[in-house]
Amino acid sequence: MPRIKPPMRRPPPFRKLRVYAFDPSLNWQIDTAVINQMTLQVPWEELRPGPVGEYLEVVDVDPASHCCYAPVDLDDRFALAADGLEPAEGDPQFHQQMVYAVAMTTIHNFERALGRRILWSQADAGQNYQFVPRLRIYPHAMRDSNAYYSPKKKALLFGYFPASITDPGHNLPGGTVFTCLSHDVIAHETTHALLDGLHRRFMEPTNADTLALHEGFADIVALFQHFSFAPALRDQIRRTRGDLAGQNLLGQLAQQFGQALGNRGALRDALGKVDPATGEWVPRKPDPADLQEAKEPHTRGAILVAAVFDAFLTIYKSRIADLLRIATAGSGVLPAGDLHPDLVDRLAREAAASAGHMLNMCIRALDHCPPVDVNFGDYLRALVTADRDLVPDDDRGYRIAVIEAFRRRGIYPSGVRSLSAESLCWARPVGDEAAALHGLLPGVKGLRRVRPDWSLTTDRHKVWEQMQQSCREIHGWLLSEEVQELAAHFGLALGPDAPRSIDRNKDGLPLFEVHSVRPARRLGPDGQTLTDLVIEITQKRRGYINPVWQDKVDSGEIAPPPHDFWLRGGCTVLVDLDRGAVRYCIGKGIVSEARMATQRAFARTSGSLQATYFGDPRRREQAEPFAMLHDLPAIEEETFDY
Amino acid sequence: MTTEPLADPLAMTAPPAGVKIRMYRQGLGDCFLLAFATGTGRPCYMLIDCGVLLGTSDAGRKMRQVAESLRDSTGGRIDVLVATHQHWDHLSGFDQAREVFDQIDFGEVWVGWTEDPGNDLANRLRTRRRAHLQALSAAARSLRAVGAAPKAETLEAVLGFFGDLGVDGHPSRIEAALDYVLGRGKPPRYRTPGETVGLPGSPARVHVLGPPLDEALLLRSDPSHKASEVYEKRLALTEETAFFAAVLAAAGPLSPEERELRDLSFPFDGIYRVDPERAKGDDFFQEHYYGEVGTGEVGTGDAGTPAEKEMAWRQIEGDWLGSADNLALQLDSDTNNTSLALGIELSPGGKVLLFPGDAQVGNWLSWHHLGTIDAADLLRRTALYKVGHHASHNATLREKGLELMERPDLVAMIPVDEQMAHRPKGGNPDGWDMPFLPLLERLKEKTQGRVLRADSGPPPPEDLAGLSAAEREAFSASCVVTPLYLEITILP
Repeated sequence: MPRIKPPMRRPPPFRKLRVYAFDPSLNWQIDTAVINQMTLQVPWEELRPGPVGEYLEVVDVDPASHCCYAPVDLDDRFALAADGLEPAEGDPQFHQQMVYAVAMTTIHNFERALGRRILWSQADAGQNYQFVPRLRIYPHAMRDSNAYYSPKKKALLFGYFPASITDPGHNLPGGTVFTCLSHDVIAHETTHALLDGLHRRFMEPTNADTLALHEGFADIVALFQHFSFAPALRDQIRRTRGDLAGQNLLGQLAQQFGQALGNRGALRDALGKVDPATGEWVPRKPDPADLQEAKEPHTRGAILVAAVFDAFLTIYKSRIADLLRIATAGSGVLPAGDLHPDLVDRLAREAAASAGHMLNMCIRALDHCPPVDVNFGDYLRALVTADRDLVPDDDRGYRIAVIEAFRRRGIYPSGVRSLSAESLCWARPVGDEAAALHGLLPGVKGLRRVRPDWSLTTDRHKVWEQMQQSCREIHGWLLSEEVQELAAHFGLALGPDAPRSIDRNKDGLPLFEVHSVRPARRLGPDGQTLTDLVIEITQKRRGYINPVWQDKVDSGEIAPPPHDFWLRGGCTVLVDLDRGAVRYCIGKGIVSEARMATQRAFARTSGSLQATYFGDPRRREQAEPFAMLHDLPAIEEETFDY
Repeated sequence: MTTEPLADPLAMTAPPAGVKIRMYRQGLGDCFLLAFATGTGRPCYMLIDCGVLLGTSDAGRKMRQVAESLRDSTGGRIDVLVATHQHWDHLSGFDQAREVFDQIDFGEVWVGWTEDPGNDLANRLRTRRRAHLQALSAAARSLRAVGAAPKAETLEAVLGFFGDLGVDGHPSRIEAALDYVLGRGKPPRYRTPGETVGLPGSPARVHVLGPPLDEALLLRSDPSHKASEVYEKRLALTEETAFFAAVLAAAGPLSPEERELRDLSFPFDGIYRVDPERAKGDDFFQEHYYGEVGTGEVGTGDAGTPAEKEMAWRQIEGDWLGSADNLALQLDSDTNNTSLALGIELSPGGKVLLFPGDAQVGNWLSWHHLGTIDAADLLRRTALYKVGHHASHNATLREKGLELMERPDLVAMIPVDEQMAHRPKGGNPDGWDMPFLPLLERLKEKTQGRVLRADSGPPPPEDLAGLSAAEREAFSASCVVTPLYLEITILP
């Protein structure tokens, strides 16, 4: 007899999964155990065991232990009934659940901020540049106090290691620490992969800032995700009485990891550090000299993180000033004792909103960065420009807060006339340049043809194929003769007279690549949503430490010997699709002698032990550019590094 | 006063006062013979190291040739033999040309306190070094087994500083070379920093600067801070031993002690662990990791079950062995840092010859904390600097080292063979970064071009353009260049 069934239902919007809000170490202290429980709401998707979904595939092989761990099935009825598996360090299936849930949350934050689907970077030449549908996650890839994103394998590799015996912090001495159970580490590594998906040249160390931006940006995303942990946020607001500039968990990254290495504290802290002499936490004072001295990417990235966090605090303080006045009958001075729970809630809400805004700002800025050789100054300009495009009126002073925080740390863009928001925004092409750029692009009709549909419901493989098609079309346009003459506006050299250090195609013309064509949202003056087209075009040129060789190769006097480094150039062009006008052209000139000299100076002074024996990342691409970053010696500054 | 001519025309003479320094040109390695004026006809000879890098072509013949020259130049008697540290490029000759060294009579043998078998810390360092080497050579073998031969070769090149490691990873050749050196002492002198020692017949005094006695400084070459904790307890589970246990298990059968450690090192209980052979038969692991086992051919798998080869690029079978790179660097630096570093003062308050071995940061820094010796003063008076570690970036301290050397007549000698260093090392096509260009250029500035390199010889004229004609003349006159060695005379 046929069974009677209710009508088909739509799937729920979210799948609830339990994770550690920070990492397991907070469970061992009575005051943090409660806030460490967290249930993430991950956008619902069909999942296979692994979990394997649309964006991610968790594959739990552990070659160092010569074993594998069975994949978790999150559709299992027990798991569905109980918000997933219970957090447990000794259960590898819970580890799989946690990396999946946190990585998906990070991806979701990106898609929300950008208003489009995210793609992983394409596979290498060896794999025919194929589409990579899913980032792979190996939760137990190695026995090392390290975790990294592998651009070659399109995978996150997490290590595990025994905690320090002599100085383990809150850890069990010799007890196993899993980097895949740290919310911060997962968010950080996922962000590396997301950033690589947008800008695959940003992992090339062409100046001191590129890798630092990768690291700093990954930390920024991990930090601001803390503010979506409601119980933890309320708890920390309560403890700090609303003053988030003091020592608090929200500004710290990777507690357990840092302590297990004997650091006496979190791995990194945006606000301060523990003085090794006194054991006391001291706030970090902004000092432009720090930027001069910091060379190691994490240290340098930490300055960027501190600047962004500082801007966030300014915004937060201005948003809660009225609340404090209301709560204190106008004095703004809080009485002793605990804050009223309602006030805590309201402050928490403001903190979460400010953090959300900063995070969105930071992510959106990526569409306004040059495609190669980015530096902190470029990123500041991108932040300001992207925010102005979306929020034309800065009545809350967010952009000023950002500029001020960067200025206090000595981060200035080069080639701007003042530090006002207007001068920092990328300049709109005017006059002759605008005319030239206009002539470069075909009419509105042609552009509309390449307008990609990246809405959040489109199939990602289709999105990718469409992008490939758009890239090919734009590449074709750029090959025409009239375009060659205008190429300088784009930072490119496309004519037959281009330096011979740029390799040629079969017709004897310089090679170049249309790197990406993607849509970006912005608000028009009347509040309507507009779509810009972001086109990235890049070119590479052989660079030599010896300027005499460079001249000879450039002029074609000698055939190019093996190069010492690649100089990359090109631009990010933002096109207003509706008017068919170029709004910005953010370039790095390929023929610029100044750029060549700067990178030459940078390429010849890497000077690390790593570089001495295993090859210099500033000159040659390394198999795993992110793997070694954590291990650079702290002693660099003392040895030779002129 | 006239010096009596030596009977032997091959003999290396000393200047009437001061010292002659000879750098042999055997390749990437150190061998320095010093002849100090004594006032008698016979100079006081000091030999500092005698080795060449593993993999140098025809190394045995070259080292025998060097040893024969040492024998003939000194009339078969060397007053002081100094072995700076236990690296093949400093000691190989005592293995490769042993029968020649047997014909030389050594007055004294000096080594650092770190070679003293009666010293606890020295023994712990040695034990740790052996454990490291055993694990690292096993790691290289495992890398080969998973098809990562270039990575294995890059790693093995660094391990080559310990000479030829047997299948078990035991550094028996280098240990034998050092044992030979120690055996030639009667007994050897284990030098500690802060000592000042005279040389027979010479007014020169030798100040012992390193290796540091302070363990923290001794290990301050360390690329990471996961240093050296409790390494005497091999059974304690640390980041290092957990890695070693895995490497050794992958390479072959374990001793009961190692098995115990390995059992302790598993991150999860046995009920969670699935043997890879079983996983290869499982749908999930076939589809997402191993591929359809057995078919092998690209493109022959059904949709959804890609063949093995298509899966390979995302597999991570060998990636965990990447941690070995760091450990190898750490081991290399830690050993370099045990270098016996000497500051040789030709006369009280006069010129100084600086022979730091391959001292790293911690060693250099420690000199400035010696109560009995004013290291900054010695550095200011340095007239000849033997550049550490073939002029790599990590063996010359900047502010508290080279920048203090201010004599206008400073000379630098670099025992380097750039071609050998730059030769591709497995997966690293550029080879080693020696000499490190920014250091080399700063050396040229500090010495006004007076840089003697073992590979290219004396400086080209354009490097000396900053000198006056008389200075240039004097410098050229003080140098002797032969295919076998470079020599310079330093007057007091």
